[in-house]
Parts: sequence; C-alpha cells; structure tokens
Amino acid sequence: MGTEQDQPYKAIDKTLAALNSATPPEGLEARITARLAAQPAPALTWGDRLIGYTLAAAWCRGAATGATFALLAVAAVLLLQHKTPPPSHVTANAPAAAPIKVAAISAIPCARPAIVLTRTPTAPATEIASTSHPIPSSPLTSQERALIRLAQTADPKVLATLNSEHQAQLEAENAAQFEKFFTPPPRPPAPPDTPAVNPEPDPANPEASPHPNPETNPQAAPPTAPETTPTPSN
Amino acid sequence: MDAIGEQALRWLSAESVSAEPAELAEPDLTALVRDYSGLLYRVALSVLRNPAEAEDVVQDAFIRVLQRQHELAAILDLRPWLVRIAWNLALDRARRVKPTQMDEVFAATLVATDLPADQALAEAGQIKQVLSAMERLPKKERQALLLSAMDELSTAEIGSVLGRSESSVRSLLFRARTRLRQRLEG
Repeated sequence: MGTEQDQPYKAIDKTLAALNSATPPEGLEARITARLAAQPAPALTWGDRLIGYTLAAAWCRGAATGATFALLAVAAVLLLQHKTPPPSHVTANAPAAAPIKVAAISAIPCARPAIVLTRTPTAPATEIASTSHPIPSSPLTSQERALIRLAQTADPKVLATLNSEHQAQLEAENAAQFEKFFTPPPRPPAPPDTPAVNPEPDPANPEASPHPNPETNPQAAPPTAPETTPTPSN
Repeated sequence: MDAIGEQALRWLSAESVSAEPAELAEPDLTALVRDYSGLLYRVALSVLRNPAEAEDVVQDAFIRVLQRQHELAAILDLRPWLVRIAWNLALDRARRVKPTQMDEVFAATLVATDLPADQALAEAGQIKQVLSAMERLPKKERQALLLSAMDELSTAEIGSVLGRSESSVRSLLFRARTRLRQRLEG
C-alpha cells in the first residue's frame, strides 16, 4: 500500500535526478571560451552608462525616438520654407509656358510690314531661383500718367523747357534783354566847346529834339554862353 | 526577449552589490565557465529539453557576464546570479521552442545507459509521463520543481532566482509534488 503511494514520488524523484545528472556535451567549455574570446571587450564610459541607464526602459527609448523624428521633421519644414524664393512679379504677370510676342508696330505706315519679334522665355526655374528682381512698382499716380502722356505727345522744344537748367537760362536771357531795353545807353562825351544843353525836353514843345542841331535849326540854337562850364559825361 | 535577462541582471546586480566592492577581486571569467557551465547547462536543459538550445543559452549567459564584467567584483554570490541569467534566457527561448516536442527523445537521453533495453524503455516512458505532467502544473510550481532538481541550489537560492522567499519556495515545492502525484495516479 505504502509502496504504491510512493510510486509517483519515486517517478518524480527519478525524473528530477535524471535532469540533474544530465551531462553537458563534449567541448562545451571550449566553445564558450572561444565565443567569449571572439567578443570585443566591453569598454563602458560614463556617457555610455548614463545613456544606458536613462534609456533602459522601452517607453523612454520610444519617446526619444519620436522626439528625434519630430525635431527632424520641423527642421526639414523650416529648411524648405527658408529655401523657397519669394514670388516675383515676373512669374506672377507672365505665364511661363506661353511664348512672349513683342509686336513693334509703327504709327506711320511703312513700306514693309511690322516686325514681329518672337522671344522664347527663359527657363522658369531660373527666374524662380533668381531673387534679384526689384519689388513690383505701385500703380502710377495721375501726375505721373500726365507726364508720360506729355512726353509722348508734346513738342521737343516744349519738353526742353521743362528742364530746370534750360528754364533758368531762358529766364536769365529774358532778364538781360529787359535790362538792355530799359537801361539808357551811355552818352557820348561832349566836345569841350559845345555849350551845355538841358537834356530834359521842353514840356511846352515836346516835338522839339532834346539835342538840337545848331547847323540845321539855327533858331533853336541857344545863345552862346562862353562862361558856361560843360557837364561831365557819365 | 532579451529584456527579461537584462532586467534580471540589473535586479540581481543591484541586490547582490556589496557595501565595499573595491575590496573584492574580480573573478576570472574562464574560472566561471569552468565552474558553472555544467550547472547552467542543466538549468537550461530542464526548461528547454533540447541540448543544442541549452548550449546556446549557456553561451549567451556568459556573453552577458562578459558585458557586465566590471560588475563581477561587486557581486557577492555568483551562483544564483548566473543561474538567474541562464534561467531567464531559457524562459525567453522556451517561448519559441515547444519543450513537449522533444519529450520522447529527451526522455531517452535521460535514461541510464547501463540498463537493459526493455528496462530503459520503460524508464524512458515513465520519465516522459512525468515531464508531460509537469508541463501541466502551474507555472510557479513547475519552475520551483525544476530548479529543485539541481542539487547545487539551496531553497534560498531557488527563492533568489524566482524572486520569492524561502518559505514560499517550500510551499510551492510541496504543492507541486502533491499535484503531480495526483495527476500521475489519476
């Protein structure tokens, strides 16, 4: 009875003893030693230890990886935005694909037809990449439009008067002519034996010459006054 | 899969570190292989029941030891520390290898070679039956029973490997043997 109850225990002990008595295969130690020799010797620095301990948990590694990818994505977006050139007025006004036709049409009828110049546009990528285009100008004011209209239609002589230097020169010439016209000419020096004459005309006789000729008009000749001193000329 | 081994290694090194590690000499790795490779092989074989897989586990365990070589001087009790590394590596590998597939061959290898053929066959069948019954035990009881097969390990060391107290290991062993006997009788 007792032996039958101990039978399972004996079987268990026999199995456990068999597990304990299992012999390792031949050359196990040599293979382990050879594999250990093939392994590089660990050389842990303080930085490696710090990284190893701080990043030991899987969630910590995942978080670090996610943060790294997010930073890289933000940096890439910022870099792309930095490299994109600002829109230029050339690309905004002219379509890149269509060729630009410039027709030089003269207002005066001519013997030959108008020359149509066809210019193939430059590469759009070059224009996009170039950043030296000036800032698009604002619409012209009414005064500027009037000036342009005047420059297209007016007489060149009239246009020349718009030049401030030329205008100043013209004004100076006018002033000089005015002065020349109204300034009395200098009186020629009188001969020493000629008596002094009153230059002012006689109000009673305005037709009388202020400079009477004694030879042609003897009546108008004043009486001789030898003691009169001559008037000095200016 | 290696995370469990890493965790166990860290836990054991934190548990076994002495107060004055500088006074201890660093053990020779070759001496460790000579002294403990057989024990680690049997521990791994009890879990995996495959000699080739068990040998791989032993090699991996010593590579882990090599990677932690600078901590060896601070470890007071090397045997449970090494057994725990091999134990966890074997458990990791056992998830891929089904031990029951190897029961018939493995049982035949465990039988003593000096027995007559008919007796060896009967004994191999009995060992296979016990191994099959052990596989159906609760995990903790099965692990405690397998580790108790190693004569070199005391109950305290088994508790250190399993992370349990000595009394808990004794209780696990008693329940495992009782349950196994009942299943073998039934």
